[in-house]
Amino acid sequence: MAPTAVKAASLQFLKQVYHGKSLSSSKTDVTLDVGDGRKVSGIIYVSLEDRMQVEQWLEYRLYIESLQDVESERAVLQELNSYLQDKVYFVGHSLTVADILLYHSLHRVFKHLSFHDKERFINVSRWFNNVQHDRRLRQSLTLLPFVRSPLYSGTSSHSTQVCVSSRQLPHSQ
Amino acid sequence: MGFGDLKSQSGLQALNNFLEDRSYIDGYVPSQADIAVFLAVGTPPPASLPHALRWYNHIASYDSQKDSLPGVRQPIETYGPAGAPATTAAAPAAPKAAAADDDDDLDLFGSDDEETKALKAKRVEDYAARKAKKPVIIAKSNIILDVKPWEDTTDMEEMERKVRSIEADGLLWGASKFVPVGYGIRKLQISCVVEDDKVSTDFLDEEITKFEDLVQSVDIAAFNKV
Repeated sequence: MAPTAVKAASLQFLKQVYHGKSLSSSKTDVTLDVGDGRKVSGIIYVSLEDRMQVEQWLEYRLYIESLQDVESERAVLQELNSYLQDKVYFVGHSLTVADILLYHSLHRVFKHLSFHDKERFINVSRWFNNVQHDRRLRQSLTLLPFVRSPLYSGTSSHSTQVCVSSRQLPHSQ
Repeated sequence: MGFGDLKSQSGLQALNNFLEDRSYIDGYVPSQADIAVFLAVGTPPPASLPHALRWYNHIASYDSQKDSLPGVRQPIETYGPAGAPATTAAAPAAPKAAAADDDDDLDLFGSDDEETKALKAKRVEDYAARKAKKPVIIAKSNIILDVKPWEDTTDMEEMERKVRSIEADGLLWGASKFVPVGYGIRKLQISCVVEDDKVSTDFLDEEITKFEDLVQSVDIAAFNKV
């Protein structure tokens, strides 16, 4: 899909989700007018490289939407997991359109993910859990649970263990 | 409890574990909590602690905004694993405050005007004050110990007196009874309530086995969280 078409599709999606009466985008910014005189100031693309990265993610997100089977979903999550190892947000140090659209596309995938898998793809889970707590961003999607448990992780860093020892009484002769 | 010494390897390791599934120290947006810990860490963590490094680089990008981030800087010990309940309590409180107030006030990407900033700051203060008034719950456990004598002629009352003479802050002795175990030998079964942070079972074990002329061994028969 041509870049302009991808961008158009993404903006269309944003408009749909955020019920924006008008969505305007300039070379550097996206502004969402949510009506009643409220304007959601957009995400600033800090640099040209950032903007290009965001647009790449917009395309990737369409790929995610097209996935049919669990295997390819896993592969995508694996890729995203390595990508997010050293990042808090997808592009730069703040929320961008990339995070918003990826969140919406991945919600469906995460919804049916087991806790075990959420633990496996810990970086994507961390990013997802962070992003989903913004109510405005979440809109009508459900808040998904992310719980850590020693059952799923190797370390018991998040729980305290209590040991009970009960030895058999030695018989006296 | 917190992270411990954030300039040491163990402190940084604790921080790394904490940040494995968290983007921020407290809640889901950068706050004064992150700045406080950031300043305590001082230098970038090594690459062997990827989550700590990721968080450090991210918070470093907020250098110009650090005074305007929400929240109030607390002493460093309040952040981290033991502070986790504070995090989970803060997280529902923050969205609740957001839901309670008008949607008009909260911008999607956080660029507030003066009024809403003041409002938010006041709310955070009220919450902190409320939280401070709440009594702290101390973790306690109920332990039942089996103290075994050398032989059936051992003076069990004497043994009980000696065990009860063990005193420690956070240790409270409870009921006891003598349970026959065969061949005329009786064991002393005594219960106590301990504060987890102050008294350990190792301590109890050691102290009781000090009475070696009376006590053959000590076992933990039961250990329940109160």
